[in-house]
Formats: sequence, C-alpha cells, structure tokens
Amino acid sequence: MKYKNLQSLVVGFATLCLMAIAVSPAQAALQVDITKSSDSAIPIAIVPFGSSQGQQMPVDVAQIASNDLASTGLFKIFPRGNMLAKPSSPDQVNYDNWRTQHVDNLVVGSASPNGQGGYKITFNLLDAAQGQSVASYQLNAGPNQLRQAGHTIANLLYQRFTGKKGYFLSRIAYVTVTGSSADKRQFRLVVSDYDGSHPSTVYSSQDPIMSPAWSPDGKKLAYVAFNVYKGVSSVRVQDLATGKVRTIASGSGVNGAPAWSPDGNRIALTKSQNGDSNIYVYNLSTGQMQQLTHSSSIDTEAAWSPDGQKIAFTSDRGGKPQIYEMSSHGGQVQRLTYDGQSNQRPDFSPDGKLLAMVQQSANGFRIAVMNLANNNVRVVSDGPLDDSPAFAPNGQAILYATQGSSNSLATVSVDGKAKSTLSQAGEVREPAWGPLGY
Amino acid sequence: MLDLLEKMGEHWRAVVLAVLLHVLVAAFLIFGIQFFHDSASKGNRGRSIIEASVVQASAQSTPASSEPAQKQPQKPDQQQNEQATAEAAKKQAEAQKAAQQKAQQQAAEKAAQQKAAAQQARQEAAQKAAQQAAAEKAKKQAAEQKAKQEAAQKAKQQAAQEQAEKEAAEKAKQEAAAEQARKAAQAKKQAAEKKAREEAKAKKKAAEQKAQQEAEAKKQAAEEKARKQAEAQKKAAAEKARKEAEAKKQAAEEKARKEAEAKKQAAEEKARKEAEAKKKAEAQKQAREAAAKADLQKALAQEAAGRQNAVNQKAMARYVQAIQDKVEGNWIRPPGASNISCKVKVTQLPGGQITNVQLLGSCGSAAIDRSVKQAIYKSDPLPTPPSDNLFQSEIEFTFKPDQ
Repeated sequence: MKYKNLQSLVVGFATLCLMAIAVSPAQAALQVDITKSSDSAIPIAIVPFGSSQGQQMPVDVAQIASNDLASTGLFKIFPRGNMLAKPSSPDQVNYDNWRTQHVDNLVVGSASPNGQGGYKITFNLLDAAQGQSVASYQLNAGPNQLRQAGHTIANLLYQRFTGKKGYFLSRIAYVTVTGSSADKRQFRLVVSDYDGSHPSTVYSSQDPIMSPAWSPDGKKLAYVAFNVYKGVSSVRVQDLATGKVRTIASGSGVNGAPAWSPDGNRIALTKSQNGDSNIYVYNLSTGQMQQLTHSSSIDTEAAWSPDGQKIAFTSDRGGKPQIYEMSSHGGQVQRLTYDGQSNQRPDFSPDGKLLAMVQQSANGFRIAVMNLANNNVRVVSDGPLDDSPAFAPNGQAILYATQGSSNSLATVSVDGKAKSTLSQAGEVREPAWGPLGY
Repeated sequence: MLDLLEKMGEHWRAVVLAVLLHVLVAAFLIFGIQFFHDSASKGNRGRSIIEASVVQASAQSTPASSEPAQKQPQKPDQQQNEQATAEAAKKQAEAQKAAQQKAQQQAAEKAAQQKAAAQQARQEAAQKAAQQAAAEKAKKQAAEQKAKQEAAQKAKQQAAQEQAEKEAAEKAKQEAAAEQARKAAQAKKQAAEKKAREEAKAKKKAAEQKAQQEAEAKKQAAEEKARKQAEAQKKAAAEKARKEAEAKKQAAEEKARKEAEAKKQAAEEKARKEAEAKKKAEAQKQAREAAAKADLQKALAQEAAGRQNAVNQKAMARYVQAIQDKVEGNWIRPPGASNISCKVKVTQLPGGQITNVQLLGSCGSAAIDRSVKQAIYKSDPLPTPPSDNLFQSEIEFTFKPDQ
C-alpha cells in the first residue's frame, strides 16, 4: 500500500514534471515581436478651446494647430463636426466616446484673458486609449500673438508625437512672378509663414529675383538680383527687419546661388569669370572673397553641411550635372551622385545625414533624398518639373517648387509619404525654408 | 527388659498356655518317641531278622569274612549321613552282630564298655574300627546332645531289652531294676532336667517369644516405622516422583511449549519471512510494473505532450500572430523615427484586458515610447488565446521595425 502510494506519487511527480516541461516554455512571458507599423496618420482631435468668459477668441487657435498638424500629412485631424462633445478640460472628457470613434488622442484647452490684452491658454493632451492625460501645457499670448499661439500649440503637439521640433513658427521665402507680358512682369521676394500664409514682400523688381537664402538666424535673406538692363547680376544680403541691403558679389558674369554658412559669417556663392563658373566663399566679416573651385566647368549651387566643414555643389565637370563635395575650404572634390541622368541643387538636412536634390530621370525632374551614410537615394516627389528642394528646419519635410498646370509650393515628408501643397496664388519659385523661429 | 516383663504380665495367660503347651509337647515327644521307637524297631526287626539269617549263614560258611559285613554298613554312611536314624539302626545291628558272635558276657561288659566307650568316645574319638559302636555312641550322644539325646537312650533300651531276652534274668533283673531305678532317677532327673529344660525352654521360649514378640513388635514397629517410613518415603518419593514427574511434566510441557512456541515462532518467522519475501517480490513486481507503467505513461504523456505541444504551438503561433497583428495595426510609428528597438512588458487578464504596460528601457525617444505604449493600450483588450492553457498573463513585446 505504501509502495502503491509511493508509486502513484512517483507517477504523479513524473506527470507534474512532464507538465512542467510542457508548460515551462510558456511560463516565461509570451514573446511578441513588432516589426511593422501602421501607415495611417496619427488620429487626433483638437477640441475648440473654451473661453472662460464665453467670449469668442479672435483667433481660433485650435483650428490653426489642427491645420498645422494636418499640413504635415502625419496627423489625421478628427473633424469638429463629428465631435459628440466639446470638452475644454480633462475632467469633462468621456473617453469612451472618443475611443469608440477611434480618436486616440485628444486635445482640450481653454483660454482666458491674461489682463494684458492677451490670453492665458491652457491645454491638455489626452490619451484616449489609456484614458488619461499625457501632457499639460500653459501659454501666454500677447494681444496679437494668438496665431503664433496656435502654431506653438501645434509645435508642442508635434514634438510630443514625433520627438522633433515643429516648424509651424518658421517662415519661408520664395519668389513670385506676376504679370504675363514681359514689360508688366513683376518679381517679388516674399516671406510668409511656413504654410504660405501671411506673405509679405521684402523685395520686388521687374527684373528677375532668384535664389533666396535664409541667414541662420532668420533675420536676413540673401538673394540674387538681376539687372537686365546692365546684364549683370548681384548677390545681395537684405536685413528683413530694416530692409537694409548689402551687395556682396557683383560685376560681370554670373554672381549667384548664395548659401549661408551655418555660423552665418560666410556666404558661399557662384561667380563666373572667363566663362568658367566656380564656387567662392565670401566672408561677411572681412569682405574677402575666396575661390574654392578652379574648374573649367560649371560649378554652382553650393550648400553647407550643418557642421560647416563641407560644401556640396553642382558641377558638370563630369559631363552632366552631378553633385560633388569638398571641404568648405576648398581642395579635393568628390563626386556624390551617380543615380539618374543628372542631379543638382543639393541641400543638406539639418542633421547632415541626408542630402536632398533634384534628380533628372526618364520621369522628369523630381526631388530625391540621398542617405549620405550609404548613398541610397530615394525619390520623394512626383515631378515632372520639381525644383529647389529645401529641408524644413526640423529636417522632417522638404519644401520644393513644383511646376504643373501652375507653379506652386509643396512639402513632402522625408520618407516621401506625406505630401501637402501650400496654397499660393500665382507662379511661385525657389522656396527657401527659414529657421524654426523659436 | 521391663517392657518384656510388662508384656509378659500383660500376656501371662499366653505364657502359661505356652508353658503348658510346651510341657504337653515334651511329654508327647517322650512317649511318642518311645512309641515310634517300638514301631520302628518292629520294622527294623523284620529286616534285621532277614539280615541276621544272612549274616548267620555267612558267618557259618565264612567266619572270618567280616569285611563285607563291615563294608555293608559303610555304604549307607557313605550314601546318607544325614539319615541318622537309619545309620544308628545299622550300627546297632552291627553291635548286635558282634554281641551274638562273642559271649553274652561281653554284652554287659560291652554295655559298660559302651558306657565308658561312649564317654571315652567323646574324649578319644575313633580308636578302633571295632570300637565303632562306641564311636557311634559317642556320635549318638553327640547327636543326642545335639538332638535331645534320644538316640542314645533308645540304644540303651534296646540293648537292655536284647540283653534281657538273651540272658538270664538276675543280673538282667537287677540291672533292669537298677536300670529302672536309674532310669527312674534318670527319668526323674531327666524330668527335672526336662522340666528345667522345658522351663528354661519355656522361659527361653517365652523370652524368645517375648523377644520374638518384642522383636515382632519391634519388627512391627520397625516395620510400621519402616512401612511408615517407607510409606512416607514412598509418599515422599511419590510426592517427589509426582513433583519430579510434575516438574518433569512441567519441564516437558514447558519444553514442549517452548519448543512448540519456538517451532511456532520459527514457523511464524518463516511464514513471515516468506510472506515478506513474497510481499517484497510482489512489491518489486509492482514497482517494476509501476515503473513500466510510468515509463509507458511517460512515453504516452510525452507523445501526448508532443502532440499537444504541436497543437499548442500552432495555436500559440496563431495567438501570438493575432496579438502581433493587432498591436502592429495600432502602432503608428513616429514620423522620422529610426532605429527603434525596445521591449515592453505587458500584463493582461485572461480576457485580454491590459493591466499594466512597462517599457524595459527607452525605445529611442519619448515620442517612440509613447507611440509604443499607445499602440499597446489601443490594442486593449488583446486577443484571447484559443485555449485557456495558452494564456499567459505576461507578454513581452519586442519592437524592432528597423531590423
């Protein structure tokens, strides 16, 4: 009997062991690998901000922020009309309502006068999935700063979701051409919000204006102005605040394609002498001009690497235009691009890892992004005549000019997935994206 | 002695009776012998007459042939010494022969001589073959003394009677008278002697009787004592024997009991050992069988486990895929984020309800971390397993979209 018990015990133990063996791999946590992500944009609802006194705010900051986020193509803005409720504080939120409408993220806020003519704005980012507040913010907006406040809200939210600074306070510069006939044509250098809104003309001429470039501090613009009558061009630096202009390169031949060094002290540009175009660097402090390239071909469209160590440029020294690279002090030149029929108009990403360019192929001219680490090139725009790529100051998007039925400005995310067009009237050329603005 | 006297006193009647009885017996003996002697002599007389005639004849033919005659009486001597009476008669016959051959005078002389010879025989003992009579007499007297001297008297009487018959009377008469007187005296003396003897005898007898009685009593007592002793002894012996027997029996019984017990114990031990051995063997058998069974069960369990494992693995793979699909569908990777890699520990309830999400280190940035967390929370509730046994409360997600 004893033995039998022992026996059953042994059997039981063995069974237990087996069970343990069978179960043991499952005892550790279940392993699940996530290798893909959804292609969908981030769903978010920004509920119109409440006002403490029931007064309508002069500016719909929630709408500005919504538009900002929507413009990136990364966010899917939940339409206001579908909102079941418009809470303005977290305690008013019924999360289930938002969850059932697949609104993962919810922004509620309110504004109240700050006593100085402006507003104190508070808002919360809520995670509807978790049913809790993720972040809480507070802003102070001056009497005329509600629009900026809206952009700031977008910047904060953008950063919250992407980890990068939002560019919704940045500005762009571009050239518009109006007038159909040659004698009535008007060229304007325009500066606007990043989205093209609130444009303001900083310089206008009947002669062409080309190649605007932002100083790193965003206070100045360098551009090329032609004098058709004299048949010359000049590179000018204009202070946006004062309108004061300084010509840094002029004379016979080509003077063009200015590019600010990251420290803002130098401007690389193209000068031609005796038919050869070469890259020069003009020192704004000393007024000295230094020639960096000495080829008999056309070297132009210089771009500074963010660290200021290198300068990339377009050259046809190999036949067709391609992008080359050299030290910012000149010297040995290295070819960077080999893909496509031609590549030109380089622009470094703010982190220096990517190089945007116009790539000519059978499909026309399109914006391409090359990874400088592995030279992989990815075309991000659709063509057929895209030009002048410029990285957003946060590096997440590229602004470029596209010519189709009409010339316009467009942005595309660096991965090419999110595209958006900036609404601009008329022909728009050569956009340049200024700094973040904050 | 006092006891004896006392006893005699007590049994005086018996003593007197005994004395009287003795006297009577003595008288009877005396007269009886006489009577017996007469009848005997009559018998003897017939034979002696026959013998006498033969002897006479032979004596006439061969006077000197005494040797066969002498030889003849020797034979019964040689033959039977104990037949005293017969021998005596023989000798008397021989004496008669001698007396017949010689002078009648010689008879008296011989009688005297016989007397003297009888007395001399006691002292001298066997002088001559011819004087055998004397010797015989002496012998006879010795026999008489030994056996109441009756033989001698008979011989005397016979001699006297024979003398009286063959000779003339005077002397015979005188002698008979004298003899009678002497006899009377002698008888008197004899009676006295006899009386005394008888008294002594009676006394002796009484004493003897008494002694005998005493002895008897003593004997009886002794016997009684002995008997008692014997009895006691016997009893003791019996007791002893009984006890011994009992002890023996007990011992035997004890021994038998012990033996039986030992035997029983041995048997029991044996039986126990056998049973134990059997049990052990049985247990071993059972253990073997159990082991075999366990092996089989193990194999079956392994097989089943393997089968179940395969089923489970398939089901588990589906389950994992379901979770993966849901989370991946809900994960919106932060724009521009690269090199995402992290692990997230998620705790769930059996219904898939998420109770906790814990990042095991950053995924690269706060925005990525949040996107990952949100992806998991958006997947709440997580898909449930096809069978409960596949459920695990803990899930470890590995986000690695860039590998």
